[in-house]
Amino acid sequence: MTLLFFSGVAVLLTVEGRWLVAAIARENLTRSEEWALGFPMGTFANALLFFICTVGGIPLNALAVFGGHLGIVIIAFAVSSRVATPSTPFDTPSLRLGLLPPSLKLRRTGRVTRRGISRDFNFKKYLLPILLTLAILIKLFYGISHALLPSYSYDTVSQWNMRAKISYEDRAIAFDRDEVRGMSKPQYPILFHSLQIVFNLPQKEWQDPVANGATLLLSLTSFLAFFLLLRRLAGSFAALVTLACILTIPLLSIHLAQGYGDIHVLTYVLLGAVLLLHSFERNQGNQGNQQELLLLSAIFVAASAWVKQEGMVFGVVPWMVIVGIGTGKFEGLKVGRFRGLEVLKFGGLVFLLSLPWTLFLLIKELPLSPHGGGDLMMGWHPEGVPLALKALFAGGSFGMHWYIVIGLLLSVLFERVRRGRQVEKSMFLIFLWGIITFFGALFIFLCTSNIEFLMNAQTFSRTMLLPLSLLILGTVPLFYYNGSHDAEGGSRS
Amino acid sequence: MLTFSSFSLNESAIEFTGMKAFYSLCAGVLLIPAVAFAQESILASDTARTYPVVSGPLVEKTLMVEEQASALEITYSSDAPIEMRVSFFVETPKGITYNPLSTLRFKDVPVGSNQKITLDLTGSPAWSPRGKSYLFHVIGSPGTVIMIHSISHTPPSIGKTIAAAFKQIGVDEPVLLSSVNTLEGYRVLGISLSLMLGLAFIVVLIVLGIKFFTFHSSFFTLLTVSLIFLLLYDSRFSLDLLKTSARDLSEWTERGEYRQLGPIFAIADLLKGDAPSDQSMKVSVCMKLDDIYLKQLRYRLYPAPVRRSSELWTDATHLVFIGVPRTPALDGTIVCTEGQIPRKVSLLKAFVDGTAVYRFDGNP
Repeated sequence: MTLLFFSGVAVLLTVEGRWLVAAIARENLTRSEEWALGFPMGTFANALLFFICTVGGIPLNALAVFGGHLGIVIIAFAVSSRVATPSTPFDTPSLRLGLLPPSLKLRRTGRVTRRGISRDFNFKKYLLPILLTLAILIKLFYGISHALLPSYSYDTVSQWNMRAKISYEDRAIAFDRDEVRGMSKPQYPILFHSLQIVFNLPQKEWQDPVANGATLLLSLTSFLAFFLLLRRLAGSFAALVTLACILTIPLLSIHLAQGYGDIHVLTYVLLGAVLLLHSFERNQGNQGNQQELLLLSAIFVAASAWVKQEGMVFGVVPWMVIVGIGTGKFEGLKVGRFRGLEVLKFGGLVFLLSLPWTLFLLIKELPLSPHGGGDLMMGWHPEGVPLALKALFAGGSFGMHWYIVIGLLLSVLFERVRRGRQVEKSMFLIFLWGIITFFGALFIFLCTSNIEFLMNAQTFSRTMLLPLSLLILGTVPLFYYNGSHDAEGGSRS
Repeated sequence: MLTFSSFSLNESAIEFTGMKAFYSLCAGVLLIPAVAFAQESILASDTARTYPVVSGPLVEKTLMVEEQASALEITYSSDAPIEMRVSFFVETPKGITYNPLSTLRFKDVPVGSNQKITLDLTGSPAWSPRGKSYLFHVIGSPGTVIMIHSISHTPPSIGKTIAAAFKQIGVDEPVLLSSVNTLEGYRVLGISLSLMLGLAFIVVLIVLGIKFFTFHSSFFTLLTVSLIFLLLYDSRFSLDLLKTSARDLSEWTERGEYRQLGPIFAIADLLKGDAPSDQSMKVSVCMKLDDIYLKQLRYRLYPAPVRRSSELWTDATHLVFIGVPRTPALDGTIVCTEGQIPRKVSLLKAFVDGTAVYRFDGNP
């Protein structure tokens, strides 16, 4: 029965989310992309439903929650049924042309010998994808197997799962200001908790594997959607490389198994970023309909702020900056023909969707940050620099990833200098997002009292997962794109 | 002969009669030649993932050893089983310290007089041939008399250093409670593997870059090389993930235990099964270990209140000892700390040493 109810809720949220995505994206996504985005979207809708119930004082029982979902499903279905969704990818965005496997391009242009092609073809076409897939599968195996084991970490049994369990028993979101009942951080947004609660509502009692299974499902569907969206944009191989680069970040594997909120902030921001890329690409290609994807990107970025407040700092605010730059008056970086009013509209929407929790905390007189006023105590802490460098380059959390991202970026820049090419603007904007979050995080840890969490190694590495993932998304496909031009022998501005 | 910060002569005695009892004796003991047995070591990071067994109070004495060594040969006498440990200094921005996870533990060192053992230091990822100083710990029960007659050393050689590098690369990433925040990473001869591979990657990148600019080699090769380096590190980490998964799944399916949480799940199930029907269950916890055990019990037993014994004693229905070896008095009463009203208890189940669950019999 446990599995049956689990599957039932999963199907409900997926279907609901899929229809919501279809209603918003209209004909801009394929069916598989819509289905993959369904669960993350349904999870966000669930969080908003829980918020409305909390504000309205409605008890979070099965009747109210599933009744609410039924209402959303009906509305979403009614709207989405008017929209025809293509089952196959449509006219591909402009990036795709440059992203065929280079080995095929080399063969086509006849610039290498047959022997060279064969070796190149075997390694890059078969061996590398197999090795990357194997690396991904091992991470998934670790994640899935450990999600079924009991909750393990400190914050899981004091902040995340504990608060969800207390709220489940109370049938209301818990805002305990002391730790008498065992929970802390009442200011944390409720996407994570509401997801675990909705999956446990049909169960007789709180089930720990159900709670962890629900959050694992969110991670898996988000990464699947990320892969599918990137595949249509950049090709299968580039999407595989990018996904493998992200999933092989050693610390991310641990979070995939049983993590805190950080991995869901990361996945929502990545979905927002890849949808933003689609929006920019379609806009550049003058294909229209870019507004729907921008809207969808805004919604997923706003969802990140409902997981942790970091979503606001590293998701919502940089998103507005990036969209502002990409659509603003900087001709060198301008990627579209968005009008100022449209940008304002979407910017407003992101804030509208992400701000209610913050306002709610203010009304409830709860501190916005779990660290009290410490976040605002500015001061340069040079003693943190060696620790930060050690964590990034000589620890185990990131393995080789920072070296590779920096190495690839320098290579792309040299390439640009050598051949006078322009870097793909939309990818560069994602890279810029990564840079903003990277230096933003460094500022928080080196220039505020959060230095404490760098010194005791508690949150610095976890926080750096997001900038690194964005930099990978902004670098690897970009590199691939540039590299493909070697074979083509042409340049594209 | 090694130099000691606290020991100026070549013979010393340590009597564990309490934390303050620490004597440096100069006894004219005749050293009898003996065969040195290599003592098997365990890395502290391996034991950190198991539930701590606390049998009784232990006393630890620490000495600083200053010499470049790959092994220490120790001649000692002890009248009870002891444990020896060696920690390795590392320089950090916060000063010189040591990583407790890299400490080598030599358990159950044989009892006897003029025993001679060899402690191989190369098994710790913190060991390097450049290391010049170590912390030598001796741990035993109060009252144990230990004499360290002499400590000599084996200097590092090229062969031993190469063998140590291979041994250390096989040391697993300790997947512990702290791993959700940060991972230790692999170290070979005291140097981070990420750093070594990273520097090698930079060198390859420079070479490829020069080729790239001069001979116009394929730009895509750079990405391939990057992925090879990434997979190289990932293969080592993936191996650990697989080993950790196999170990965790087998522990859970066979014993219902999970890493260092040990019997905490069995304790929670036992308490759930023993919840009184006429009143709500309230659990008092008496513990000296990390507070993860309290948090775990709170989470698993919610909505039943679970508190430290200092916060919940007289109203509690159950008592759990975690890492506190304690037995009821002759009249069947027990306390956690001095000053508490003794309460009568019935033992529900004793788990490993220092861990037991009791039911309170009536009110105090």
